[in-house]
Amino acid sequence: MASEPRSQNGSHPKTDSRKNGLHVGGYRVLREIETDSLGVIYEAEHPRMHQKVAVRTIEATVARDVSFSRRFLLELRSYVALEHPSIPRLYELAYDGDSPYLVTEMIPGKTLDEVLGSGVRYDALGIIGLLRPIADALDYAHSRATVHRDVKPGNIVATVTGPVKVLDFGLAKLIGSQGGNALTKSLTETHAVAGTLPYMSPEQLRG
Amino acid sequence: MDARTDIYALGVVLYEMSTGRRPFTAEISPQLIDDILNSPPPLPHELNSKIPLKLEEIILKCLEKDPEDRYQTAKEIAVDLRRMTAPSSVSHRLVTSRPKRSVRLARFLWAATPILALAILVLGWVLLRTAYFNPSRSIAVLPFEDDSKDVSIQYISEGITEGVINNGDPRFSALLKRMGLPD
Repeated sequence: MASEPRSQNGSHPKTDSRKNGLHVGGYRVLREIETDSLGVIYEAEHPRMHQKVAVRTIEATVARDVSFSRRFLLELRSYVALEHPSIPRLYELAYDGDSPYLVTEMIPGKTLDEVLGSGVRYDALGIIGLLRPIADALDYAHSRATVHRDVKPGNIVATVTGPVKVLDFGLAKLIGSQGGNALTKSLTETHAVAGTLPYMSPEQLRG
Repeated sequence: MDARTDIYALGVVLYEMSTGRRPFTAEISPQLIDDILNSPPPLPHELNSKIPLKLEEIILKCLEKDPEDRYQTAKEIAVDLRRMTAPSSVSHRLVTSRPKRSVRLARFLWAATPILALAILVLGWVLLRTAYFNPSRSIAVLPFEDDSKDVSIQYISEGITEGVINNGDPRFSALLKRMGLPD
């Protein structure tokens, strides 16, 4: 079961020097969750509020691309309007120097990718219990003109107590799309083969 | 590209959870892409015989090559998934906690009968008691006659008669009181 590339221990080379203090903006970094074509996702904490959040940094080189910035803001505006128990809340878009970062709700729990990879199998009731809320969340987003575009086990979190959640809403187009610059493009290609391609629809492949 | 792209991807996730593998497993990208575009997925129940037929139908409908042939909204998937769990448990709950309308009406009537009977008895008793023990007071008003033959004060006798009949006039209420006739 292939999963998307993760670098749990390594740091993203481009952001490393800036993250020496282990802070992104006002947030203290606790650990790195994942690196993708846009930047790095951290679990972080507000030093005074002690609230755990997910901080997604965007590479300055990616953010400088004008067409990217425009699409990025468009996606965020539709994402921030989504309010659904299975869609993590987007709290903030802020800047650390030239690099924008997003602060979203931190979802504790394992991705479905990790659960399936560890050999857990679901019966029909288990499947329905997990994926019916996801279908509801997708329907909710679709009714507000937002398409996820990267639904896959790696983006579904089976939380221990709360509802199942779909991650990375509205950002998938930017992460997985024909990016505006070379960096995005090359990262996207390796990314797609490793994890996303098997979940892509025929019309998505035809482009 | 629209919502039906997400519906396809959800179908792949459903397939993977049901069978333990993805519908297309080619390692090499061009082959994988060709399979996604052109090959029908292996039937889920051939990989896992425990998969309910209805779930297989839902999965295959999500994975249709042509978006027009798929579910058109994720809501329809949610409804179909809910239906798979619903028929037995929900109808069972309906029988135990909320009986049919005719049964509820019959039960209501059985419960209501003694209460209605008691209400009729009480009402009858109140009416009887009112009629026998609390007769309304009445007075007969004969025309007052003026014995004085004085035409100039004849209007007073006529006025008194009118006043007693329409005893809302406070002046005659006072007069009646003085005559020992309360109100």
